Order: sequence, then C-alpha cells, then structure tokens
Amino acid sequence: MALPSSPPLLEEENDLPIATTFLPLGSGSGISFGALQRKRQYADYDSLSSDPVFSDTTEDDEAQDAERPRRKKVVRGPWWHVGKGTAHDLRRGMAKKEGFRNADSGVWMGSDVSESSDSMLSSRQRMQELAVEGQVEDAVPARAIPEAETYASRIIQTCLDRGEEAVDLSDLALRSLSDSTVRPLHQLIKSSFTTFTHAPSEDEFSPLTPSLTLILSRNRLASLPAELFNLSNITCLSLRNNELDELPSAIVRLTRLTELNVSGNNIQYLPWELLDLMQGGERQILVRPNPLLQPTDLDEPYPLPSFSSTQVSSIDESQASSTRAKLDEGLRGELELRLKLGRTLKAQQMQAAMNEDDRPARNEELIYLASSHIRWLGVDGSPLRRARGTPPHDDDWPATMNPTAHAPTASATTHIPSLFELALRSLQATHNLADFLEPATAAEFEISSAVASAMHRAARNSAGTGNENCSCCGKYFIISRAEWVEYWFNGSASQQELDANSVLPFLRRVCSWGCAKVSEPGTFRC
Amino acid sequence: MRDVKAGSSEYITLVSNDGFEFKIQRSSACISGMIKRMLDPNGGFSESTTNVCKFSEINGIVLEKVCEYFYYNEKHKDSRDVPDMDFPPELCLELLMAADFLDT
Repeated sequence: MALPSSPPLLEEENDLPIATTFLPLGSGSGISFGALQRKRQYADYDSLSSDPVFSDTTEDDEAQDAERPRRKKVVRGPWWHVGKGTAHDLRRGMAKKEGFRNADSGVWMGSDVSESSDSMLSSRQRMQELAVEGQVEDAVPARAIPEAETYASRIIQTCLDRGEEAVDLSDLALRSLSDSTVRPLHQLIKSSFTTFTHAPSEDEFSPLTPSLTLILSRNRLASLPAELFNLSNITCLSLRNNELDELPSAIVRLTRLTELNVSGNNIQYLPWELLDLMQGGERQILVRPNPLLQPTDLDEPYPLPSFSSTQVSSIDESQASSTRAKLDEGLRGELELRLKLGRTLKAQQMQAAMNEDDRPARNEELIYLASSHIRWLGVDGSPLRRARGTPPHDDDWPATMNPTAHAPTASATTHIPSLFELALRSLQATHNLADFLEPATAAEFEISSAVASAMHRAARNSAGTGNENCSCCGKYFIISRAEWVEYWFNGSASQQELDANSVLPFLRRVCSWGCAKVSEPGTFRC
Repeated sequence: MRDVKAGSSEYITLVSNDGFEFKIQRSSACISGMIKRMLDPNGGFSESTTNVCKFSEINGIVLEKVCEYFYYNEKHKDSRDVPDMDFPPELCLELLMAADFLDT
C-alpha cells in the first residue's frame, strides 16, 4: 500500500475520497496515489511556501485576510475525512484569494499558481463546483416550472445544440407544457449530414429547414401549449397516451404534418378541421383508441339489406334521391344507406375525374353519415332558453334524422354576426382584455357574468391559439352560435358494413345561426 | 313579423337615458330579443301599446350605434361575406354590455 507519507494538505481534499475507494482494492491505488503525489509536490510547495519574494507590500487587512487560509491547518481524524464538506468553501476562498493576488501583484511566481496549477490537475473538481453553482442558480426558477418540464426543456436544448430533428419528450410524466418550453424549437436548424470531404455537388445542396418529429407520448398532458401549433415544421406529432380531452382545432395549422397520433387520450370528438387533414390520405392519422362518440349503437351486427355490390354501383342519381326518401327505416339502416349513397356519388365523381387524370383510387374513404341535433346558442354563447318540447341537451350527441329540429325562428338565421360578437371583436382588437377582467375593474364597469365569461374567452383566444374559424363560412368568431357533431365514415372501401371502429365524430362550431347547416347525405371527401 | 298587429306602427321609438330619441323601423329593432319581448302584444308590457322603449342603462351615443347596427343587420341580412361593422374603441365595452342587455 502506498500510503501517503505526510498528512495530505487541504488543497488536495477533493481527491481523497476517491483515493479511499481505491484503498481497499489494492490494485490501482498505486496509480492513483502516484498521481496524487505528483500533484502534492506542487501543492506542498504552494502552501508551504513563505510569502513570495516579490509580494505586494500592502499592509491593509484585506491582503492579510487573503493570506490567512494559506496557513497550514492541523486536522484531526483520518486523513481521508479531511476537507469533506469544506471543499467548496475552500475553493471559493481560493478563488477570492486569487482575485486579490491578480489585482495587486504583477509578478507571476510559483507561489502564485495555486489556481492555475489546480486548473490543470483538478478540472474535474472545478466542474463539480460549477455544477453545484449551476444547481443553486436553477433552484429559483425550478420552483416555478415543474421538474419534468425543466427536464423537457433541457432535452429540447440538446436537440437544438445537435440539430436533431427528432425531439423525444416521451415518458417524462409531463403534466403541462408551457409555451416558453416549446418556443426554442422555432430556432432548430437541421444539421448537415454530410461530412465535407469534397465540395458539394449541385444536387447535394438541400434546405436546412427541419422536419420536426415531436414525441410527447406517455405523458400526462391535459392541454397543449398554443405555441406548439405555430411550429409549422412539425411533420410527425405523437400525443399518444396523454390525458387530452380535446384536440384543438389549431392542429390544422400544422400543414406539413404527415403523421399524427392521438390514441390513448380522453378525446370524445375530433375538431372539424381534422377532416381537412385526413382528406387526401397522404397523412397517417391515428385516432383510436379513444372514448369516441358513436352515432348509435354500432356494436351489434346489422342484418345487411340485400344490396349486392353490383346493385350499389348501378345506383344513379334518381335512385340516390329515392334512398334519401327512405329516411325513417331506423337509424342504423339509414346510416348504411347513406354510406352506400356516398360511395356511389364518390364512384361517379372518381369516374369523371379518372377521364382527366388517372390517379389511383384511394382505399380509405371519408363519407358523411349523420349529425346530432344542432345545439343553438345565444349571443353570449350560453344555450338558448328551451322552448317546450325541446329535448334536453345530450352530452352523448346521438345522431338524429332531423338535426335542424327546434331551430330558432327563421327571421334570426342570418349570417350577420351579433352586435355582441362585433363589439367583442373590436374590444379584443383594440384593448387588453385582461385589464377589464380585474375584479375591481369589473365591479366598476358593472360587467355581468355573461359578458365577463365572453371576455375571458376572447382573452384566452388572443393569448392562445387565436380565434376559431367557422366550420361553415371560414370566418373567425369568438362566441360560437351553434354546435353539433357530425359522424363520418372512415374506413376502407371494401368494408361492407358499418362498425364502431369505422365512424369518427367531428365537432362543428359555427359563427352564426345562418351557418348552422349540416352536411348533405352523400357528402364525401377524397 | 309575427308580432306586428294591424294598428301597431311601423316605426318605434327608442329613448336613451340622457333623453335622445331614435325612431327606428320595428322589424329592424326586433332583431333584439329584448326589444322584441318588450313590444310583444302578448307580453303585457306597456311598451307594446306606446311603441316607446326607454333604456335607463344605455346612453345616447351607444344607442345610436345600436340603431346603426340594427340597420346594418337589416341591410345585409341576406348577403354573405359582409365586412364587420366598425366601432370606436372607447365604445366597445359599453356596446358589449348593451348588446348583452338587448340580447342582440
């Protein structure tokens, strides 16, 4: 055993605990102590040296203070306990000391090198110290931001540094994700994959615009940051296994999206805008499993009406209208009929389109099936006072044959936004709504609760993903005047029968009662 | 309009809390659910016989804008893609509260 011949000195204390771990092993300790002893020679010289010859002659207290920790300390106990816990204090003391010496002595001497010689030998120690200091600084914002999110933002930072396009934030138990965490992703630049051994040829130039892959799966997110929908470079977004209740309609802004996974959430209906993304079929959109709404019970097999495929393809427009007349043969049968109608109309259009260009027909179909009752809303977005006979609003949004029943009187079904809406839009555009929502201000202006909640909504829109767009006319609105769920068939063209896994619910919101028009039976997207 | 009986006038009067009177077409004003209920002959309010609606909460400047909106709505009720009506910023909040009150 190469035990040290003299008690180690304080400058070395940080290496000691490591040395002790080697001690019982026997092997390897020689190496480590060799290193230590080499170091110690330097350190011994450093701390045992008398005052430098060309030392400054200032006699003030500070200079003396600076000298004080350099005196040799007597320590009792085993040598490897020396300096435990005092390491950082000592380092700081030395750093301070160095400050003094640098300030007043212009001459570099052996005794002056305490810091610089250490920086070579114990850079690890310094790293540790820096890490400790870093943690101390982090501790303050860490209270504001949950730990998981701090971790997420570090991952994002790493991806930024390396130019990685795949940002994997899965399994972090994230409960929320703030705008500021996601925002740096705007700055991500794709790393160039080529190692430049030769000058790039003409076709090797490529844009450095990233194709972001953002994986947020297996977290506990209940809402998404608005900034996420401004990251237009996202091509793949996984929100699998979170706690989302709703997919924001702003998802349609991610136009480069090719893959979207929202399975395993609490989503009951999809935003109407998602239909635009699904249309075309180039995108892979995974929605199931989710507790999606069903138009009616589709789980039991339905006795298929005697339609053979030849009959279906031979239905023409006149027959299609006669199918429309058979509306009241039970909802389930109706849905099956509408599916066939949609397929027929689609086949006709495909036939016509085929003559112009021969695109291969897609296997995936999007055909409108049915709607729920339209829920009419007042100027402030609250449900209308129900006239007698109106069924109570059902949270299950079941499909119905007559969705426009219980519509308000025809005179009110214009496309003109209400005065309430117009005033709210102006207010949103010209004022900071949060100012009015302070309790004191609200009391001063005698803002009623309906107005306050509408203003809250407008404020949230302008702070978040912006105002929604009417699913009928496309104009933006703050207060929706009617909403309903439409059920669309989304399955393969070869599927003969509806089942629960081939129907998707889409929530539609519109800006005015005039816009509240459900899709026509037979509507399809391709 | 269903509510218009023979004998009831084509124009009604809206009075603001500072005394301004606005004579406005009945059909236009009935866009407002509140005014419609006030003027409903079956509602039993005195406004349905006098055809004068007094609003103690709305001042003249705001009520003028409200009347402007009534005619804007009447004019464009069958058209689409109408540009939004502009309001002076200082009136927005009062208009919003008036709209909430008038159910417009």
